[in-house]
Amino acid sequence: MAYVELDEGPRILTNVVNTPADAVTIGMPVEVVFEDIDEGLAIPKFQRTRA
Amino acid sequence: VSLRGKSAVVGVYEHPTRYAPHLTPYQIMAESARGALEDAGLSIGDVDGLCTAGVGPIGVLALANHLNLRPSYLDSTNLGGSSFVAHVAHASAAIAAGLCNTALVLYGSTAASERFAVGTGGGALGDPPDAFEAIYGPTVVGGYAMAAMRHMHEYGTSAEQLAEIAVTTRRHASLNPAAKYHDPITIEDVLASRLVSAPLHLLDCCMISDGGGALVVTSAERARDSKKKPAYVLGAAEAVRHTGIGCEDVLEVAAVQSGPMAMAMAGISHRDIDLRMIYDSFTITVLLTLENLGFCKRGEGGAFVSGGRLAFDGPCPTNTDGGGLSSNHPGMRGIFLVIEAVKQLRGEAGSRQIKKCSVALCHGTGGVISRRHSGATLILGGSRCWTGRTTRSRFHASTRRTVGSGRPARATSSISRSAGRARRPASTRERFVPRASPRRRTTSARAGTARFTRSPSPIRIRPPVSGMNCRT
Repeated sequence: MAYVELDEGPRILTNVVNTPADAVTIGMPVEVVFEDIDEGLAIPKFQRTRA
Repeated sequence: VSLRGKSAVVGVYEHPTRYAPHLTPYQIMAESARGALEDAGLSIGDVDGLCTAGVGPIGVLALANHLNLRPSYLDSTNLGGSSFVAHVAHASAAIAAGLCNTALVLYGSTAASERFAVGTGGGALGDPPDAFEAIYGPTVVGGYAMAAMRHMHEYGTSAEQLAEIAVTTRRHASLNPAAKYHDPITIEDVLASRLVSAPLHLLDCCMISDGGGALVVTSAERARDSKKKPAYVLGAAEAVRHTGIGCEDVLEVAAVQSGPMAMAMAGISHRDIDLRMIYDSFTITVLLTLENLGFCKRGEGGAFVSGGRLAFDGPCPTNTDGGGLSSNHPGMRGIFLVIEAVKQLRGEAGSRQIKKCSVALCHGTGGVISRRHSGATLILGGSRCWTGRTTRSRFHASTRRTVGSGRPARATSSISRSAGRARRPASTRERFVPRASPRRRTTSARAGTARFTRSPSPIRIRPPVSGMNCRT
């Protein structure tokens, strides 16, 4: 669980995924990924920005 | 109109149980009511106000039924764990307004015997914002852990410093016969306990127990005839902090608003406060609350709590009953903050009694820091007409300045503070010089990516604001 600050300004409660827990640090650049949680429903999550 | 000195807490009772599978919350409340009324020298027939929270959908009605009461003032305000601190203020307002004369504030819970998951539960109650959060699987402890992580990142606060709070609180519990845990613990013990949600270890977290308690609040006039020394309500305020529609600052807690308001009503400053009863759902809760109440600056909490400074015989006595960390925590522990404050003001705290206790500050936190939480501050005093050390010290300071102390003019406030100390040796307990304030790592914005929250500018204690509290 983490707050991610979007470039547009707001902070949103979300999950950081596809990133080892030990590698998650405050200030780390992340990018959005959409995860399907139901038919026709996807929610935004974030992963470490790939170089 | 102010609540200051209009009412008093004249009866308190902490139910001794910590595990009671044979009792219902209503039975715990009834037994507690009997205890507090006896403590006050009053009878159930004197009660015409009733406050509770945390039982049933409209449990206050069932409670009135259970006690066979027909009160003229009912309050089931639920702010989470801080509710009962707020109830004292609400009852005081009702008494001042003539809605009732004597109110019972009751709490009972069997969270432990029901195996109710408080901290590891999601804290999703079905309120509208939960829909945007529950999908990410938040937990209560996770919210507090996020704040702790942020504090460590921003100010270099260490796990050892957080552990200090647990260690001191356990020491207090060892002096409280009713407390659940008595064996002393060390910082190493805290760090060696398992991680519940990084960086919070098991011993950074409050327990889940059964329990309950009761308070009797009555008018100042009536309090004069009470059996024991009244604890007068000098000031009170409530506040809420939430995500602010995308502007969450996880290190700002509601105390930043309710604290100064309650202290202004009471007409006191920090150095007037002899005892702090601070909700300790987690060690980080105490640290953040102390900072936001203004006992130290934001970021200095780690140094402030270190070296046993919060001990009952230390410079800043805090949570002398052993707190939720070591005495009891049936889910909403606000009522115990008030009970211990009253005992200390009366001089009834036994081997954990602080030397001199004239003014106590209670601050309850309810809900989840990092998401939505309430804060309720209550200031109690042993005297109804607390003139305060502030006034005297100011007067003294101006005298000193007139005769010329050789200090620069801009140091006025520090002169008045030191003059206050000089007059009253006991207040040297407030002296606090932070050793180091390691402010570090500012994050940089990167184009084309989102990033974790950046630290906002250092906080200042500010008056309550209307409307949005958004700093972007």
